[in-house]
Amino acid sequence: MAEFTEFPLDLPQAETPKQPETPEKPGKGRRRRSREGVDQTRGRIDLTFLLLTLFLLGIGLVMMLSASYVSAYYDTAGGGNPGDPLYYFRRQVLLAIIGLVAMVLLARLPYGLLRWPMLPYIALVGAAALMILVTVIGKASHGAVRWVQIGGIRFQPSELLKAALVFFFAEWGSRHADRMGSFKFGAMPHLILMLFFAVLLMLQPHLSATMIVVGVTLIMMWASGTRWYYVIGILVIMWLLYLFAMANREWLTSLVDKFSYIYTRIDAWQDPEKERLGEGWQILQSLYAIGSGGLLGLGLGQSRQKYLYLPEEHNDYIFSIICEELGFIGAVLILLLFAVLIIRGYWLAMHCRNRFDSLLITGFTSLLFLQVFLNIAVATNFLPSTGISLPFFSYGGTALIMQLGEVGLILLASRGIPDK
Amino acid sequence: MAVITELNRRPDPNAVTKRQANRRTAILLVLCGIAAFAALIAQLAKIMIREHDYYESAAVENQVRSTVVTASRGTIYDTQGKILAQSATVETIYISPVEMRKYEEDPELIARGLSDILDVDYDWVMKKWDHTDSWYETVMKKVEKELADEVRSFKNTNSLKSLHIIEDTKRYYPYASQAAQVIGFVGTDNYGLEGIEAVYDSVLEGENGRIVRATTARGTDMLYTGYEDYQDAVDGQSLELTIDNTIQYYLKKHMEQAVRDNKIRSGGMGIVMEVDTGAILGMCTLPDYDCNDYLTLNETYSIQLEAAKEAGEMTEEELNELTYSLLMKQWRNRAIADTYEPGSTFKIFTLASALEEGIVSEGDNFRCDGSMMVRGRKEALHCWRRTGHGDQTLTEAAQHSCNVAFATLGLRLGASKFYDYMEAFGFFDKTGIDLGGGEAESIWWSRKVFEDPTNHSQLAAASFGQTFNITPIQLITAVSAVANGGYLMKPYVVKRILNPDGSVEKSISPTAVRQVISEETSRKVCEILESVVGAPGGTGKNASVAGYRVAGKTATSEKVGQGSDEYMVSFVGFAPADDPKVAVLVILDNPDPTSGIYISGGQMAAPVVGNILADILPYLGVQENSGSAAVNAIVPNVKSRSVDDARRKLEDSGFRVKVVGDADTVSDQAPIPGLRITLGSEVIIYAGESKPGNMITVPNMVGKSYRAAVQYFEAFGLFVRTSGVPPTDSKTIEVQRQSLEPGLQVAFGTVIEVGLIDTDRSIMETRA
Repeated sequence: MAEFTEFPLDLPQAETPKQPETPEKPGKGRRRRSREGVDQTRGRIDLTFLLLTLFLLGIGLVMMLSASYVSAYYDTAGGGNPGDPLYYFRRQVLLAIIGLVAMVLLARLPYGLLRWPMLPYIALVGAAALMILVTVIGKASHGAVRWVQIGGIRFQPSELLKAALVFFFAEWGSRHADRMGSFKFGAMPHLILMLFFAVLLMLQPHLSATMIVVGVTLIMMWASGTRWYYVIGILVIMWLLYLFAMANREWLTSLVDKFSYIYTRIDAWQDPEKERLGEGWQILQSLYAIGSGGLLGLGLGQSRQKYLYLPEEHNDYIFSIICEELGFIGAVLILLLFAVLIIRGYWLAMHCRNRFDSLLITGFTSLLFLQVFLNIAVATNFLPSTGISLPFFSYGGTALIMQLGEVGLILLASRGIPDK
Repeated sequence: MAVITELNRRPDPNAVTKRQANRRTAILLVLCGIAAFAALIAQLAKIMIREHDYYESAAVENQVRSTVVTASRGTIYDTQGKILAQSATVETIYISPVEMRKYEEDPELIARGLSDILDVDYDWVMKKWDHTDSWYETVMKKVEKELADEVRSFKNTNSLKSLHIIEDTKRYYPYASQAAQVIGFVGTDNYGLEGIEAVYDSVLEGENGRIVRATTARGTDMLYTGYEDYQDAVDGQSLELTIDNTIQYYLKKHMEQAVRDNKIRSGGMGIVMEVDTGAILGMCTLPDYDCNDYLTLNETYSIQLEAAKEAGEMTEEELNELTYSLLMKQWRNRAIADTYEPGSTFKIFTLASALEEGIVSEGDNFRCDGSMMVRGRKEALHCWRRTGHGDQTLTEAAQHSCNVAFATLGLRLGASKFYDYMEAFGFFDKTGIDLGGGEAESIWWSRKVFEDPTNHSQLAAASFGQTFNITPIQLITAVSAVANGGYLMKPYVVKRILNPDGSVEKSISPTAVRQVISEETSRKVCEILESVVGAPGGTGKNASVAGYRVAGKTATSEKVGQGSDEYMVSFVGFAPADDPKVAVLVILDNPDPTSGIYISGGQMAAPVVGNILADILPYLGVQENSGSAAVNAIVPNVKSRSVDDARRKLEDSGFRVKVVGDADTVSDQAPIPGLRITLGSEVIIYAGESKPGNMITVPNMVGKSYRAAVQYFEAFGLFVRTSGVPPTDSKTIEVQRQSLEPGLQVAFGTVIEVGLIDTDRSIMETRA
């Protein structure tokens, strides 16, 4: 516990009077102190986290290839020409390379750059603007408006939003660490932002992003040090809202027909067989894939469900194909790798020398966790279906680049930890 | 200083210490990094280990496609090998709304194409696309190959993936309505629904094969070798019936003719049976229907339906019900599925039983005063002839169809014996004919009531065929037993079951149920019944066929519970009487009194049986009886002969001769050689003069006496051939029908066939 130190911003505690004072007095502004932090602890990035990421990305690419080559073949076939089974894989490799470059660049940024106080606000406002843009002029995709086209790249602003929120909550939580126990600082701003973006996302509608925004907000509140009962209270309220919504199904759907799809999904979740030709189809196909994997799986590349039975098999449902091919043992090993990565993330957060770094790492780690957990929970019908990709595995442009970028930021923040 | 104040201050409750923060992060670590993953692993274990077997089989079922290889349905042949029912490949066209959306194909293009080619409604097809979850929406079934090929080329030119054409089979009935109720039909799914198609469905249908293979969700093969398994289709077996299409044709033809001539209101039933085997050679129910188009009402019933519609008193629902009940009625094989009160034809069995018991002989005297008293019955039992038949022998009583004589016979036999014989003749059981569960049960007195010693009225009435109901098939089966030497046979329709390769899977041999009477008795009854047709006073004489010995019995029965003018007239006959081969039963249901023909079996049904026998006996190769005189003969060729020579030759052949012209040699003759005309007709030979080339308008001679008709026709230059009763000069021999419609223009010398019946009032006005 020798390296256990107070955060520079924390008020000195009676129990730790021998804590060395920072040369400068508190209260004058964050920038200088953060610069100072940079100067003092310009260390190495966390190799463990990096290697775990690269390992997962490698496995992810292999499984992406295996899962995607059938649909790649059929999707690109036509006009008498055979399809290109490597179509999705090639694009994914390219995106992975771009993502890795972004990760390395971000990890090598000057440590203090993150602490520019305006950055979270700019990011948040930018994300909000893009979000509104999407809802207004966005392009329809899968029946939901989620994309914005910027210079030929389809870009999902909700990905940016998640990162911006983490940034902002880290900044807020570290700046107002001494007031996080109060409702005004420790809960209200979080709730306002959460509700604002949740409503915006639901209008797209983008249920999975909403869930992640709510999840990451609650985690950041919790990590920032808000009263525990605020978090529990919100959870209880959400649970009551869920019960209310389930009880008043007819009335609510007659009121807002737009959200009736959520009910259908919940029906399919509760009894996929009953909805087997509708929403239940995908879940059933996923369960067939997972269940037929057994202990050892059918072998790499041997999935049968990927033969166009399981929709989104190289995307949101890639984990089902992993289960089918690699079996219980392979799937658990991959889950364990994710678990270790996430544990390492929180471990890093606990060992940061300043509050901001700690919250930032907590936030991005939690984002990763939420993605992984929700993805697999959906694939195994643990939770109702919603389109969430599996980090480092699922095919998809912006998400992979963003996730690798976020890893880059975690790595950047990890440089503040002197002794790893 | 600040440090000191801070040291002295109590910790701010709103501030977060690093210890607190780390504790919270540690909780996150445990919750998110450990607990959540433990939950996921538990869920995986549940699905992948515990429920593995279920999902594995579900997945296999999911991935495996089985394509049905349709077995081809067996053919139904008549006894001569003519095809009565056959399956041919046709195609089913369907669309897949799911695939239409998946491949983003143009629904309007497809709907327009289909409505153009198949003549289906465009909007109707468009509506089918609305079933968004459906993979299979039938557009048209049983499409002929040429039409399907048009759809196929439309599909290919537009490379449509949501339009499908699959092979299917269609059932064809080449003879349409011939034996319709016997053969039945198959429904749209190729399941037999009626008749033999239904009864022998499992034999005919075969067993569909299947190809099972693992495929992609689009039904194509997986990229690597998948699982594949074949199961061949086993084609259905074919049936060879005892039905002879030619006999069936004659049966139907003459029955239809009779229904028209006699204004029969409720159709009829007819059966032709081989007496020695019980094989059904023909079975007909009128009105019938086209097996190829079984959902269309026949003419009779559609008129009924239209009448009901026009009356306007029925709701839509009631009309639908009426349509359905009429369809059921036209599909009904009434020859086995309906019961009726047989009436006088039943006297055959009273006679046979009494003779078998030896309580009577042909010469015994039976006096009929027109009525008799029966124990247990208040009023007298009347003979159909109220004035009575006077003294008569048993044979004469049969010829007269005397009710009093037969009631006496029954009473002499006794209720118990009589009942035993009826049981032995099979009237209490279904015959067991292989036409399924459609066979009706007869309706009889219970033995206890029948044998009541204080009441003989049931026995007396039953002796001449009243107060009970039997099926037509029971009657003809029992008549065949009487005719064939006493053996009650089990009637059957299917003779052989053939394998698809033509080999015989099973031959059905005739089954004798029991011997009911002795051959001696059988012979006696045949003699008596022959006299019913052949004797001058016989009520059945209209069934006589020139050159053949026909035996039979008439019947006219009031329809129980119907109005007083509703009758069933029938005749059952068999021939040759000395060695019966074939029995024919014809029942005509409900003749219209306005037809002008006296309503009786002898007048209406007997000629039908006679006509049928006249056609089928030669067809069956039964030798004409040399003893009896032929009625018609072929006109020999006398052209280029000398007039004297020609006259001699014609007169030798049995014709009268008229010479026109005075040359020495015959230049022409009328009618032309080779035609068959009635013996005794006048043949014209032309010597030097030419035959007149004028056209003649056919006169109507129906209802006129034969003599008058022949004179009239000859005066016109038409030559006559007869059928039915032998032509005599008697005024009671009348033309019942003529082969050429009145008013038709025909050439001089044309031959017209006239059907003759004997309308002798003293014999024929017999409601018996």
